[in-house]
Amino acid sequence: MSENQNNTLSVAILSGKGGVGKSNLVLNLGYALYKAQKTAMLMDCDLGLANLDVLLGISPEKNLQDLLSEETSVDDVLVSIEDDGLDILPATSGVPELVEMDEDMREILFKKLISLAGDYNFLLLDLGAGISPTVMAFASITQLRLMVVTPEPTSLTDSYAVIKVLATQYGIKDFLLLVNQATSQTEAKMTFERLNAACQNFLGIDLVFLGQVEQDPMLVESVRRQTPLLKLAPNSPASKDIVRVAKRLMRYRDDNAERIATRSILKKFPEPR
Amino acid sequence: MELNALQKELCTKANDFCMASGPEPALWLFRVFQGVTLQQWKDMSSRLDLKQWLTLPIDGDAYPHLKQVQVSLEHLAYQTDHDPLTGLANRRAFDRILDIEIERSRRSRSSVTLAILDLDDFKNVNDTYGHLVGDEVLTTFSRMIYDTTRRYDLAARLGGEEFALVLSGTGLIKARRVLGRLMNSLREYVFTAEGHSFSVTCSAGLTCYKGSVDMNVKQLVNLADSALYKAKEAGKDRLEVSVIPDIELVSKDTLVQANEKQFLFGKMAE
Repeated sequence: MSENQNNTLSVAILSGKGGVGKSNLVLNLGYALYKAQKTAMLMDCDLGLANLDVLLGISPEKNLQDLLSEETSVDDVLVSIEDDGLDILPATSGVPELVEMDEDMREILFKKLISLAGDYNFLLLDLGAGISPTVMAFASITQLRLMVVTPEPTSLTDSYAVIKVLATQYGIKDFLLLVNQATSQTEAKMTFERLNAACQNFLGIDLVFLGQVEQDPMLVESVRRQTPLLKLAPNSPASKDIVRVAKRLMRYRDDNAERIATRSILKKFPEPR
Repeated sequence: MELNALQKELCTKANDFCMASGPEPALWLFRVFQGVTLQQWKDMSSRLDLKQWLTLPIDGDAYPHLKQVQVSLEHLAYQTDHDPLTGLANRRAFDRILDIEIERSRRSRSSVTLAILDLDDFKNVNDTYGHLVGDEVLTTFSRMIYDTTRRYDLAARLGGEEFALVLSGTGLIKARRVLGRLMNSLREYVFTAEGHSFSVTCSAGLTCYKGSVDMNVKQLVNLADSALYKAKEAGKDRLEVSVIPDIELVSKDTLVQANEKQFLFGKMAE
C-alpha cells in the first residue's frame, strides 16, 4: 500500500468557516485538472450537508454513506461527470447520525477509498465546515491540505482555529493557502500575510501561498445554473485564476514525483480522540 | 461429635502450618478423621474456625462436599463485595465498578453521574436512641436508595452513614430528579423508637463526568465530596452539584486566544 505507482496526489480542501466557496473551488479545480488531461476524483466529505452533486445539478442514487455497508463498492457510488477522468463521490444531506464516523466506519471507508484512489492523478477531498473530529480526521489523511480563506476577519479567525487544532492535536504543520473572493491582488496578498504572520508568531508554522481567486459575479450565475464555472465561463477572471492554481498543483506533483511515489496516497485515519 | 485432645491438636497444628505457609494459594492434604458426616464437619469447622478447609470423603459420595465448597465460595464472594448490614455494595465494589463506569464513559463519551450522600446529624440518632435504632435508619435508607436504582446503576455504602449512587448513562438533569425523589422519601419517612417518632434527612453531593477528559475514581469522588461538603456547609438537607469536570479540565491548547485574534485583525503592532 505504500507504493503509489500513479503518483496520485491527495489534497484536502478545508476552510473552517462555511460559505467561502470551498465546494465550487473543488469542482472547478477538478475541471481545470481534467482539461489539462489529468484524472481526478472529487470526494464530498461534508457528510451532513453535501453540496458537490448539487453544484452539478445531479442527484445520485447512492452516496458515500452507502459505502459504509460492506456490500457496496466504490464503483457503485462513483459518478462520472466527464468521461475518462473526472469522477465525484457524492455524500448525503440530512442524516445527522452519519456526520461523525466512528473507528469502524472510518476503517471501512479507508479500505474502499484506497482500493481505487490509485487510478487517479489527483484526489480532492471537499471537507465540511467546522472543527468536528470527522473534518479533522479527513484533513489529516491527505498528502496536502489546501486552506481556503476569504479576506473577511471571520474566515481568517476560523481558518486559524482549524490550523491551530490540526497543529496542536494532530501534529500537522503544512498548509497551502488560497485566498478566495479577493477584490484585488493586494487584498489577497494582505490576507495571506496576516494569517501567515499569526501562524508564524504563535504556532511556528509557515504557510505556502498557492494563489488567489478573484471575486466573480459569473460564479454566482454558475451556481444558479448548476454548471461549473469553467464550463459556463472559461474566460472569466475566476476561471483563469482557478486554472492557474490547478497548474501550480500539477507542477507540485511533477516536481515532487519521486517523493509522492514513495508515500501512500492516504494516511491511516488518526485514532479517535 | 466431640473431638478428643489429639484430634483437636492435630486440627490446630494443621491450620497453623497452612497459615504459616503465607498467603500464596497452596493445597495441603491431610487425612484427619474417619467417618465424619458433612453436617458434623460443618459444625466442627465453624467451631474451630476451619472454614477455609475443604473436605472430601475418601470413600463415599464426594458431591455434597463439593457442593459445600461452592456454597462457601459464593458466600465469600458475596461478602467481599457487600456491606453486611445493608446488603448494598461495599467500598471495595464501589471503587471497582466506578472505575469501570469511568472507563466506559471515556470510551463512549456518555455521561456517568456520581452522588455521595451522607445522613444529617446521624450521631444524634445513635446517641439518643442507641445503635440498634441507628442501624434501622441505615437499613431503611439503604432500601430507599436501592429502590431508586435501575439494574445497571450501583448503590453502595461507603462506610458509616455515607452512601454512594453511580448512575450510568445519566446526566445531571435526570440525576437531580432521582436524588430529589430519594431525599424527599427519606425526609417524609417517620421512624419510631421508644414511643418517640422522628425523621432523618440527608445531604448529597453530585458530579457528572462526560467522558471527554482523563478521569479517575479518586478525582471523581473528590468532586462529589466537595459538593457534599458544600451542601453540609449550606445547612444540610440539600443537594449541591460540582462543576462538570469535562468543562473545567478540557485542554485549552487549541483555544484561539484574544491576542491571536488581535493579530489576525491587524490591530496589533507587528
